[in-house]
Amino acid sequence: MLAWELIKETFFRKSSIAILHVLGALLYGIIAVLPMRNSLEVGAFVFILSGVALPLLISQGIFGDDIVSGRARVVLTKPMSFATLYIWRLVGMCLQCLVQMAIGSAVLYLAHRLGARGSVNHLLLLNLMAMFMFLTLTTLSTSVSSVVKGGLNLLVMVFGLIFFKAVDWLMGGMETPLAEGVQAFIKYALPPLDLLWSAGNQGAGPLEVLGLVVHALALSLIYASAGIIILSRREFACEREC
Amino acid sequence: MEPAIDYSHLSKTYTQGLLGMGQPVHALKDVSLSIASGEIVGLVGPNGAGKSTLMNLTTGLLLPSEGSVCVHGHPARSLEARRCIGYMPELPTFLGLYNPRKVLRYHGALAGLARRDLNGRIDELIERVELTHAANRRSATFSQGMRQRLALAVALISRPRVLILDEPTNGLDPVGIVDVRRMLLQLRETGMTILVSSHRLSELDKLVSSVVMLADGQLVERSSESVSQADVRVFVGVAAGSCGDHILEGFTVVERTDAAIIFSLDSTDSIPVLVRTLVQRGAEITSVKLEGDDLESRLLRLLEQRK
Repeated sequence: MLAWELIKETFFRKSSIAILHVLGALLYGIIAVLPMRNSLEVGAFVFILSGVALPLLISQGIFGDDIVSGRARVVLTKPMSFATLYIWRLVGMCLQCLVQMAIGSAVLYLAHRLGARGSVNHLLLLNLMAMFMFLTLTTLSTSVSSVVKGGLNLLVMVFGLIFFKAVDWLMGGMETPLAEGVQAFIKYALPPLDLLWSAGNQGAGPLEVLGLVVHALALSLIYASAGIIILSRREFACEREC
Repeated sequence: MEPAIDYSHLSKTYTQGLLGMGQPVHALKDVSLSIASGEIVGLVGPNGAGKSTLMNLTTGLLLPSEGSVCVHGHPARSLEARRCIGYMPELPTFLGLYNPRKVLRYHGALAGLARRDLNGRIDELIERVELTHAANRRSATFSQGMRQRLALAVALISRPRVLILDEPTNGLDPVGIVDVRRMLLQLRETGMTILVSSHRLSELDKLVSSVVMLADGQLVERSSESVSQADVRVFVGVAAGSCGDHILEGFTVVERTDAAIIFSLDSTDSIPVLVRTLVQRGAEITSVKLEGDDLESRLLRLLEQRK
């Protein structure tokens, strides 16, 4: 009952979530009827929409909105652990992603089979990689949301990803230990966008997939632990305190 | 007997500025206080006195800088303490897409209520806070008064032992205020402890069994008896020369002039007895007015003394 209410809440917390899913479904529909040359195009679409854009948008303000509106001040006086709240909200967002990806992929597959449009090579593997990309990004964004106000976690995530991508690119030309260390940090400690994308796109083997899944799960666990610790240690003062 | 809420040398300091390097604000300073089970305690004081901070420390939303808060023996913020608490904030907000039934179901589930208990409890509370007519309406369309009623129902959903109410009559019309007061008095009969803050001091006066006054983060006064029963002053206007000393025997006179006498009584119940006795003894009464050492005047006097 508690779990179901927290899962359901992630969908009903604001009307823009439903609009987001409708837009996602429309985009899948549009892509399905457009001519696509190869699996790269289909895969990139699935990966970017469901693996990158959806987690950032769906987790916008997941805790920050509650903190700003004051709703957190009632929710967090209820007798449940902060981990329970965090985990079931995360599960709620993951379920929404799964449903969107399942429907979207079915549309793409049907369009391919019936109309011979596009290519669905590695679609299943790409979906799996997109799901793990979703998981790591959503967990990181949710934890950021327990620190920053309102929906600012979206901005922090977008600018953070752009910043680290730029740093990675700049460091690419250097062969110093520092540059290598920074690149290794970006590759392994931040959401493994490049790794998951290339594995899904190139049809990685079972061992490589397993390694990436373990990597994504470990990162999600670390991000989630940080978020839960922050939530349980932070204070929830109202705007007009004293 | 174990107190319902126990504050021990409680202090709260807010840090300001970048990395907390600015001037600290001492919102509460060494507050020690016990609230017994079944009491309705009014929390009063001017803005910035520390009322909300005290409430937030009780609910576990804030953490003490020094000292401790225990709710029925459990440290605030612990699961056990939160199991005892029902909290109604000053400005309640809910999921806009949810109607009152869904809001109550959500909070009931969070409080750990089983589905079979929840349905009956939701109907009971919706009826009690008189939201039956809006039970299926989205809460986003609610007025402030309706939100206050729903927030009270949310606070009560888990049958808490301690109810914490921050300005519960905010936004309510006079009828709503009377309803809330009646409801809270009924709750007191069940043995529930209620900590309530309000700027409507006349309203608190009618409701609480004791008052905690805060100013500048310090405990200024804790009255252990009912405020309206504590010290009542009655101004009695009399026709000049109609009130000799013998007429006043047995009563405590605070001030006396030719045309008026101010009596001190131990309760408002004694006013009819006073008037009847004075008339029987031959006094010609022209007016009777409750001078009232009410909560508001006591608070103002205390604040004046502190200055």
